[in-house]
Amino acid sequence: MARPSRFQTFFFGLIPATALAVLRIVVGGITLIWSLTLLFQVDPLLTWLRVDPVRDIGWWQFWPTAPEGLVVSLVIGLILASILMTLGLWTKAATWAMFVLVLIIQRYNPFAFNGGDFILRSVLLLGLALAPAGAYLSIDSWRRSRSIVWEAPLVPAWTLRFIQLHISMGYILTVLLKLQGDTWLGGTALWYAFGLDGLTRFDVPAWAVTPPIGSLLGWATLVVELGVGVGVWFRKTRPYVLVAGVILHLAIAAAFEIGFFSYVMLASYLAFLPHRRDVRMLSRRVVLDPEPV
Amino acid sequence: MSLTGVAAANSVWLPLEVQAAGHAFVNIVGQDVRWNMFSADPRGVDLDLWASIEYTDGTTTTWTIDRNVLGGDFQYYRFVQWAEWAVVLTSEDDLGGLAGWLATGTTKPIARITIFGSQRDPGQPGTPRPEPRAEVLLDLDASALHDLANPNG
Repeated sequence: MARPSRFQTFFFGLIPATALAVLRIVVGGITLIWSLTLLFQVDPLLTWLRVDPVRDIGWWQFWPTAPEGLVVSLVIGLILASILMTLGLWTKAATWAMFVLVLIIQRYNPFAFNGGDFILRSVLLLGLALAPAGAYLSIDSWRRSRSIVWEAPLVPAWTLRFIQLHISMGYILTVLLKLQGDTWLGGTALWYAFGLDGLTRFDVPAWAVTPPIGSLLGWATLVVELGVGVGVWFRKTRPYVLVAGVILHLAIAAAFEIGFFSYVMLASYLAFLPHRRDVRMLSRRVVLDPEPV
Repeated sequence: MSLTGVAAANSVWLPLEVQAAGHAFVNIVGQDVRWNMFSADPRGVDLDLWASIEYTDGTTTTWTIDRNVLGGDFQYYRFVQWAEWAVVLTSEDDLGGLAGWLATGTTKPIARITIFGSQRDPGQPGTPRPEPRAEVLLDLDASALHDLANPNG
């Protein structure tokens, strides 16, 4: 039997469902809070302030003239689906419903959402919808076996890789773009960011956001972002870069009022949870050499 | 941004028909994104939006985006996000919606709603920031407000 390549093992091997299960529970909880807070903002954000689908966002919007009652119903549907997903009951249907509902809801006023909301939708919810996210730590798994299963079942790796690759590439791309600008390397990026009164939680003295301190902080941000994007793929560096990433995002959350962004990014780190290293091929059930994640 | 979205955004070397199909696909499956994280530099200009509501009895109140709402910054930031776009991409449709909503939020007869936007340049790093430049973005009297708040008559 031909030995599977590292590429095959990486994308199509079987891995324990632990990371997917934990990620499902946390993302379900975040989406529940996301939708509960949105429920009280449907009027006006998704009604009076709704944007023109043709002029502002292209041609795709579900029922552009939908009455407020329908939009409220969509958000309530999202709340219910979030609860089901968190509990792991009818997980597959609930997660697909969440992805579609978040997509429809955000389309009514995409100007009211930021990068964290789009990561939640386009990476985490879509990735979990594609994945067997209810295979472990869920009511679905309990209903299948009628007992509590403590050992995680093996599931195909590619959906977790979908999420991991997006998170990793997101960090790498943002560093590449920041290197094209003047402010991050020049040490003034934080000066500009902290000048946005509507988003900052507190004022900082100029010396803390201008060279040389501002330069050090800006460079440290780039190092951490590049470190997470690259270092997360190596078992030895993974814990260190993830801890650095947690500190970075907690600092961002402490300094700026940018909604769910930091929490969504932190949740995405759960996709890199370590697990047993017996990676097996989908159909051949061949035990391979240990693989990182 | 999703990798699909990145690919579509960087597909300028492909034939236009393929680009259009790619963008349509990205749009349908929700892989498009508006994300300032993917900009080279932080936005320098500070934006703000507020409205003055003048009642028929001569009193006036000012509406601003509430930072102390129940949902904390989870709700606040959504309004700020929208307001920043509204200030930059001023259109009567966007701001008329805000005026119409404000008009329905009170039982006191309203004489006029004026929506203001301000932009403040960042100035030179390390120096005092310049004063914001405020301007009237939309000014509606009672009859226009009535039409907005009651689009079906």
